[in-house]
Amino acid sequence: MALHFIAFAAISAGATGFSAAGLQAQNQAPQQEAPDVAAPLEAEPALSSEAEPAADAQIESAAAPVEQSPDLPPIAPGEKNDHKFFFFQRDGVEESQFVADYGFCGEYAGLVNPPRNSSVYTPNPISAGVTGFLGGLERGNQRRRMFRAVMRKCMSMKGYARYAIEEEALEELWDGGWDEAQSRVAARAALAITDERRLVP
Amino acid sequence: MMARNNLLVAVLACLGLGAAVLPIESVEAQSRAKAYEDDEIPTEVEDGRALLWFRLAKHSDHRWGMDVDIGLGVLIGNVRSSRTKERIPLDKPLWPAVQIAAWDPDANEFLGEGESPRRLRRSQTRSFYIPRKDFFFEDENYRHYLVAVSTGNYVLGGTPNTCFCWGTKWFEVSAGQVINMGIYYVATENGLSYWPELAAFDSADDLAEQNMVADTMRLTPPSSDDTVPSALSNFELTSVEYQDAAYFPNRFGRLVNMMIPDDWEPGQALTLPPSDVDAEPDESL
Repeated sequence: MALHFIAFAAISAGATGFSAAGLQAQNQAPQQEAPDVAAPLEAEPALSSEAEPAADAQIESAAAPVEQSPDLPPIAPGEKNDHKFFFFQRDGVEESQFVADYGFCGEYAGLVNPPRNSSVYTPNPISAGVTGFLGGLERGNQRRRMFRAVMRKCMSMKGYARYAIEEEALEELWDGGWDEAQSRVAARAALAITDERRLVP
Repeated sequence: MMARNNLLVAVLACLGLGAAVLPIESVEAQSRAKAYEDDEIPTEVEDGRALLWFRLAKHSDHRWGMDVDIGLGVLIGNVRSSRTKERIPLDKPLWPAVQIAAWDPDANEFLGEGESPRRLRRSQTRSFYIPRKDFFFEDENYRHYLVAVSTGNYVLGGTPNTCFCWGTKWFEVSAGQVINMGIYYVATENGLSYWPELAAFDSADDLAEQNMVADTMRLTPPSSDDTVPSALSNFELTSVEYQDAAYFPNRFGRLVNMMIPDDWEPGQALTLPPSDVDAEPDESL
């Protein structure tokens, strides 16, 4: 049931095909100055002053060929919409493992619930209705973003990378909903990718 | 048409009036927790209650620069922005907030939620945030809070935008105790933490631009070497004993993350173990 919802949410949000790699906080680690960590009341906290070296984010599309099976849609750099159109990948992952990981993450992501905006008072019911309608649209948008953010973080923490894919290819990959698509998506996830199109989780 | 509109407005007004006369409990009464400021520190612990001494480390004192692109989307409040690499100092540092919630360790759930069969007593502290402003002592890097709660078990639930559903700590509180809770270092994963090791946690630009960046937290447990503020010198302090909490549902619908584990090494990414392939979907989620 939960998986059905995940697939539905993913497709309806234009967010189908997920993948990600953990919290890789190391990406874009800022080259900040080390603050004075002397704590007047405390012993020195166990935090040292060395930041991780920067590893750059959105990796440019490269010319290197992509290893893929003929029955799967080709991947392509997502460019503008790689926050929506992507898939998850982990070399050689078993289908059962992918389905379990995806299901685990989807159960958490499916429960996101963005905070409600405060109501704007208007004595006119028509404007109240319009305001509520637009607020509802924005809240739905917010919920989809939260869903994707949790999926990306979760799959990333489970060791999956995230790669861009064109919208049409993504729709093809997810065609038929979760029950039909899970084998395809898992097979796509398991393929090794040799180019440098990996996205920041 | 006009009459129908007026009728609708009247009904809405009545509903509003109805809401206005309902008894509204204060935050303090609702949460059954009380944070003391410097001029309110009690001399003794109330019956059936305990005092928790928290220290929260400074969150950040910079922000990223933003390029804002005002297009037609502004008409529906959808303004596009992009993060720049410029670090802009803040006039005042940011301080975190941490949620503490009543916990049922047997059910691995918030007390009274989901699989937890227990009911909250009327006097039971439920869920509260260590309030950013109600501290009793502040120095350059830390704020000290003293919060009175009822006895029971509590969990470090998360921050206002993040549930630590994938790994956190819980602890037990007994009557009459004054407990040293250690130091909490909360870091938003945007590379801006005041603490360099935590500043290594960053997120993709698109998540930062959409405000979809989760928080994480590192805990420094209490130590016998901790210097106790003079306001607490009359109390005999007990060190908290944290225990690991397993995964629990995202009850508050927030972003999800985990606390930084005790054995974490700087530079190490946070990870989750592979899911059990034979597990049935958790219907409680």
